[in-house]
Amino acid sequence: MTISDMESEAHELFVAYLEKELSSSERETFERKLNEDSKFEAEFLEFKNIYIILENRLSPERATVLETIKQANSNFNYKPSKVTTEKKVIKFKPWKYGIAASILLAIGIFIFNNFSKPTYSDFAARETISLTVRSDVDETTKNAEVAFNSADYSKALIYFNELLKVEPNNLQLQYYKSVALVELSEYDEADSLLKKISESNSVYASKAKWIKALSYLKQKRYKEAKKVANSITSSDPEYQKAQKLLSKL
Amino acid sequence: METKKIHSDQRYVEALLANDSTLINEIYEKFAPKVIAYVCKNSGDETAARDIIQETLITIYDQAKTKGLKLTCPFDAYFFLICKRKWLNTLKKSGSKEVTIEEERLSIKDDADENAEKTQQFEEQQNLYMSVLSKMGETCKRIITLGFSAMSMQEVAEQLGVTYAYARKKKSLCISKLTQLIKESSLYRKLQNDY
Repeated sequence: MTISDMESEAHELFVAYLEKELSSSERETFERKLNEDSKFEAEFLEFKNIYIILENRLSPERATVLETIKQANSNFNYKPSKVTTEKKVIKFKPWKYGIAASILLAIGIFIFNNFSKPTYSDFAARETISLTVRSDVDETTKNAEVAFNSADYSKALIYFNELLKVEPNNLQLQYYKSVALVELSEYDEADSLLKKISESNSVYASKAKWIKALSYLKQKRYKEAKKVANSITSSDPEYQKAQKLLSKL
Repeated sequence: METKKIHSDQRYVEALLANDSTLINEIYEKFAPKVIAYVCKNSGDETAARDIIQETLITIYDQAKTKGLKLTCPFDAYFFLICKRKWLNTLKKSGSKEVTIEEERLSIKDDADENAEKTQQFEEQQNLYMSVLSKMGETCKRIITLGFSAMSMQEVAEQLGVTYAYARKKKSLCISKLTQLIKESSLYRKLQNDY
């Protein structure tokens, strides 16, 4: 047996111990060895150190916290503390009133014409995503991000699919994939994905409902859009948007 | 470290651990402006500063979660130091000649320095592990990522079309391989010595 074989055999035992897969007698033997053999203990602690860091880094719990941080980032409005911009006073010449009035009239007509039914583009905020926390992540993740943020959804979709092959249960990826699908009017595929996400117990559940509502809106299926928007409750972050949509439907 | 008193700002660390959005919003309100102002003053912009802040917060979470981070200084000083050093590193990496950097004050190492340094070392360590993982073969990468996801090993086995026993064995082997690769890297040894 080579050294690395022996090492991996030891590691197998470490994993089984850390994942509580050992029987109670095996566990006792293992813990006794930890107490008696300091070299064994040191090896185990070094392994455990790496193991728990990886475990945490890949955990769904961490992804949820990262999502909360991102949310806080977008909630936060930065105002430089010392604003010393002088207020410019522009004199309003009488002839300008005429221009102002016609602009107002134009806006009025525009609003009136658009008042009848809300449209998808009224509500679909082109969100920009950031899948990368570190700058040195892999190429595909970066490509997905760039394509999505520049509204090249068919390209983004290809990258999302690639990424989902590696992490099929990554809800964040699933969610953005569904947004891309709606943008591309691939409603059936989007629907089944959104259904799955909205049934999950994550921050993406209510986001998925909102996208579902937008998807119906885009298809001009107003009744269904209304129904989905109504299912977004006041505790969801999307509640206000949903209420606004409902008020126009 | 054990003898030092834990600072009351530990509550911000706990907030990250508890995924407490109210307090996390408060962290931004209270501590982000200083970081953004600093980055903007030193050849950066608001977006770059926001990236740095986000990275720092999740790293603090990671360290707290895996190492039980205990703050012995105000969050303000600690957080600002990490962000500032991160930004200086970014500038160094980009190698831009035309950067202006506000002079660094020379001072005796205090608690904030110590806390910030630990967090940075932790981050380096974690980044190393992830980069080794990203260089592994597809099968190992997949089984490790799935193995630590919300899925049970039974589900992972189904997903991969293998038996439960095989999936477990393979996960174990892959983690073993990964730790061996990590331990072989020179950066790992350097970080071990620094600790």
